Amino acid sequence: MNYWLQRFGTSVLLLLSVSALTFGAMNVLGDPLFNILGPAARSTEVRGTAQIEGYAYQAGKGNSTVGLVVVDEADELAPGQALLVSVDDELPMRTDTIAALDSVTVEGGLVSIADSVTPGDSVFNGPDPEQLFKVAQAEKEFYLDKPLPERYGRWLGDFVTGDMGPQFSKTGEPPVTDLIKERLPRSVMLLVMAQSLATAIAIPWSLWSASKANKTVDKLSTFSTFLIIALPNFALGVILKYVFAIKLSIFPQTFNASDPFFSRVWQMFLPALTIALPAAAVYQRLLRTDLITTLQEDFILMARSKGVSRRNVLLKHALRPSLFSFVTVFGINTGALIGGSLIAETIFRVPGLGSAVVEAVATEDFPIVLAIVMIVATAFVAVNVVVDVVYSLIDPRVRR
Amino acid sequence: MTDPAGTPGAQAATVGAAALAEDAAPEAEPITRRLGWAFWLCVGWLVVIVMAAVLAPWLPLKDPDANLVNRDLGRPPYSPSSDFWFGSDLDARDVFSRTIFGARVSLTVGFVAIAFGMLIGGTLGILAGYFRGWLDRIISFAFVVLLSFPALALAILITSLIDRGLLTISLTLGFLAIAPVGRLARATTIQYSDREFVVAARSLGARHPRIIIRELLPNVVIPMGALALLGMAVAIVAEGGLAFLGLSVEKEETWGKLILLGAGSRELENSPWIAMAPILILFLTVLALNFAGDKVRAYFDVKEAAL
Repeated sequence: MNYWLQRFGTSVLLLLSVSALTFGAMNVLGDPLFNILGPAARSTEVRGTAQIEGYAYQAGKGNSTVGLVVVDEADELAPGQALLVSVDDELPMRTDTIAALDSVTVEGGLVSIADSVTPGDSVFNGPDPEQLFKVAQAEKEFYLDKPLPERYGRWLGDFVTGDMGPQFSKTGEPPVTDLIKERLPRSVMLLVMAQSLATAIAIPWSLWSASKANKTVDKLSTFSTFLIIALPNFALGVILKYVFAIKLSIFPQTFNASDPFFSRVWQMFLPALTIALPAAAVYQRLLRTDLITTLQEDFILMARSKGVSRRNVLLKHALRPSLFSFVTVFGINTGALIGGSLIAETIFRVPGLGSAVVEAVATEDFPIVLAIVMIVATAFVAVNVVVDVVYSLIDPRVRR
Repeated sequence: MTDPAGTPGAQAATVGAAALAEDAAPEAEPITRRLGWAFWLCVGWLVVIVMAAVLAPWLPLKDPDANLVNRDLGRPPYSPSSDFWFGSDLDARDVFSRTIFGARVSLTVGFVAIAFGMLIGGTLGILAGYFRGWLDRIISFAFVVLLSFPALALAILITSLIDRGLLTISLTLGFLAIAPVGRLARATTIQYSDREFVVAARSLGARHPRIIIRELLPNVVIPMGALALLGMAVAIVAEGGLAFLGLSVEKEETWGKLILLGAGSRELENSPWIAMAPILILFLTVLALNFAGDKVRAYFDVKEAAL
């Protein structure tokens, strides 16, 4: 009991450290608001050009605050007039034409009409209200007004309850949670397929290899595992895509989410193989070594001398006791393969978490990246814990 | 907490180290303490590629950024020929010289990353292994936390937060190398710190810095050297992986970015050499680094040799 309690405590501590590191990185590496929103975070400081009735006004040194009329309710704006909003004692930050008037939110500021603005004058154009809204939203969602420990605590609470913030690149909707819900099953399916494939390749391969241990074919197969491991998974993906999808046209090149289930499985075969082949090579090496050790045991000799066929000795006597370290590495490797699946997804255009990362990086939508990194890291820790538990169930010696 | 070997992170750690060492499974082959001709072939390839990368601006290569449109050949991309050894890309740029110039950046990333990882991880590992106690606990737990991150997730996190310059990408990948390198350094230090020559030095009155630098460091450096070769391969591959996620070095061309450029369906169909040429060079380099690293490790592995 004490053992399980300690085990549980350690995993929770690890999860907390991992999430703290992730969230901390966002807050410490540069301005958190900028990290979340990208250039939009600077919108509160923006002074640019204003377009009034088709004329562009350049922001310049001289400003046209001369001749301002302060009004309570600016509901009419004549051509050539600009709406200036000044907040507190700041200079007028924003001009607008009457068309966009309703989108202006002024809190504690003055609304002024610069009626002397004529084409060619310089006026200040303030931040886009949409972006200001994003800034406010980001500050609220990530508790940027709170001190760091409290910020982390609240954010973690939100994250655990499934609130991962809005997608800022898409006006906040749909929330990141929905995106993850849509994308995660595909990544999981890809991973399951990859691991099944890897096992399906590795077990017969290692049996065959171990039964011919240290013969030429075995040496060749060991050499080929070396070659496969040296081939990076993105390069393997590109080669598989070229050979099987483009030259031979056996498999489709891309993934279509609206296709029926079995054709989607078919479309996922190549990305799964991309992840599975290097994993299979690693498993094959491990299993082969363990099998060779097992095959030297006395009970194998006994079985052989009883007249059990080579085939049955390998399958029924030798395989099971050799699977021990394979199970562990299989489990832990699942976590490591998540990284490979992100890359395979981008090559074969599977809209899973990996593609979501690429899109989020391209649109500078950091909450998505944060959510995915957290999910991947959590899954990794969780898988390790599960492996650990399974391992200590199989082998009580680990518990001491 | 007192038992780092049993924590799930430690499990991950062993795999992290194994992943860095590509595959450390013991081979059931007879041990020969010779490096062999294959090793020297790998070293030869590495020397060639490093020299080509270093000397690229002075070699008679085509300008990697020039659009070498040749009216006789028609519209680019041009297939490999005596003029364009590895063909050209869609903008009529020479793939061969781009691959060589890409090697400059990719090898720099690999080298700086592993050097940084060695420096920080090695120092922390030796200190933890030598002094033990609370320092060891803190450093070991930090390693466990770093290793319970999937490396790619951590790389995505950092590279999406900082500007993606050559140095920052290299240091990010180096940061990832700290924990596996550090664990190896710590384990090796512990292994040596009770040996007779260390005890002798201590009883002769040598101070900690002297013992660490003169007695322990030379012994720890050798296994780390093998890991450096393997780790450099991992870093080069990791850069390629980041390139596929749009997170690699922004300005310069790297092997990963070159492969990504030719990896689109249309490019692969019409001009596979754009992707395949850098893949070939990358593959040979990673293979050579892995093989050389494996051989060096086996060569200096005292335990294996004593069997």
